[in-house]
Amino acid sequence: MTQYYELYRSSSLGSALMDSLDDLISEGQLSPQLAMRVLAQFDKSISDALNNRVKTRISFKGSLRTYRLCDEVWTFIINKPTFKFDSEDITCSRVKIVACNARKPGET
Amino acid sequence: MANKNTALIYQQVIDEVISAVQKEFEDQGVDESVLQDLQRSWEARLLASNVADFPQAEGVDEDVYHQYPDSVAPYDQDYQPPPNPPTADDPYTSAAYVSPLGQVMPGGPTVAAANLATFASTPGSAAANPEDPEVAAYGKPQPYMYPKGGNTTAGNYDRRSHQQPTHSLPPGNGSAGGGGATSGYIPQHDGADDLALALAQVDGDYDRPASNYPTGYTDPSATGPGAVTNAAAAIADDEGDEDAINSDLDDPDDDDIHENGAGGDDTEHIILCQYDKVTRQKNRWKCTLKDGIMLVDGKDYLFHKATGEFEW
Repeated sequence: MTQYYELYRSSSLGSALMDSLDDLISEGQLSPQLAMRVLAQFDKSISDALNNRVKTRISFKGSLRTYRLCDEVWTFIINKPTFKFDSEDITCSRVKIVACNARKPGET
Repeated sequence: MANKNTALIYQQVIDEVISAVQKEFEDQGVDESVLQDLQRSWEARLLASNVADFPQAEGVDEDVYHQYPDSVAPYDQDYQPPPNPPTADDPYTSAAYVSPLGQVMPGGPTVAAANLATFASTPGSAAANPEDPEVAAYGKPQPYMYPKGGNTTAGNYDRRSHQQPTHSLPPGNGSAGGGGATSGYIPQHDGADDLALALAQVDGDYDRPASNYPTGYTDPSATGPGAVTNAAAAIADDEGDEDAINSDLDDPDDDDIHENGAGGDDTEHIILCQYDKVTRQKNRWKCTLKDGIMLVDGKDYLFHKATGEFEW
């Protein structure tokens, strides 16, 4: 069975789900085990959706302030990044990038 | 907008997750309404976070969402809102769980909760139904009850001694439907269930306001927790300042917080993604990223591929 990263759980969509699951658990309507199953399904669905349904390509530039590679996870903090989408550019003061290895452990 | 697809993709993901786990909910005997609740509250939260332009967005912002009695109602009247302190229910559920007849509800809270909907729709059968004490005990803090409530004198009639400590509260809360509703319901317990009520009232002063919560009025106790949260946030900010003074490493993050004003998710710009390749030539870095979710300026953007070049 393919493994899916759990990192998307900290996205807006994932944290909204986790908060909702927490509520149901604390109300006693849902078992933590079942909630974990829902989250696992979320990992799969969001990964598949990003992989298959999202076509957007972007490029970005900026100045790298911090880089870190730990346990196959890259973390970059980039100052003044500029993201180029097809139709518009987006900038912000600083962005943090957390990237897991696209080649998952066990895959070749 | 570059993030116009986000809402669509998110909706697809939500639908996919919900339908994929449906069978598992059934297998474990969890009522389908729980799954529907999950979907509703998930969508409501996402909507409130305002990270994408949702077609059904009705200008609901986060603040409104947190004052749930008003804002949640549009999504679902039955929705049990997050700020309701769940522990408030516990004295009821644990105390009332063993019915006066000594039965233990086999299905547990889930069954009782599932029964609530039916129960609420047939209030007339309340007195006749032998299972009522349990169900009613669960029902007390719920908003379902207040259509049949509003009768505070009825609430008093056979239970004055027990009611004294708690009943002083509803008038203080504006004596709206809420207070009357819960107490108006109590007389339908009979006999041995008094014990459960008495137990619940041991810490009644704390429980009552909380269990009155969902009944839809605003009172000082509703704003109280918010004020506490704000205070806590303020304290956290202060601590952040101290850290900023003491530690070079903490500076950047704190700068971000202060640049962007108030705390919360909006202040952090973050990309969650996977990397295909990261290379470096002297101080020039190049990376190829895929399958990312960007949260920038409070908006989510999704990308399939991203290439980045930056100098250290």
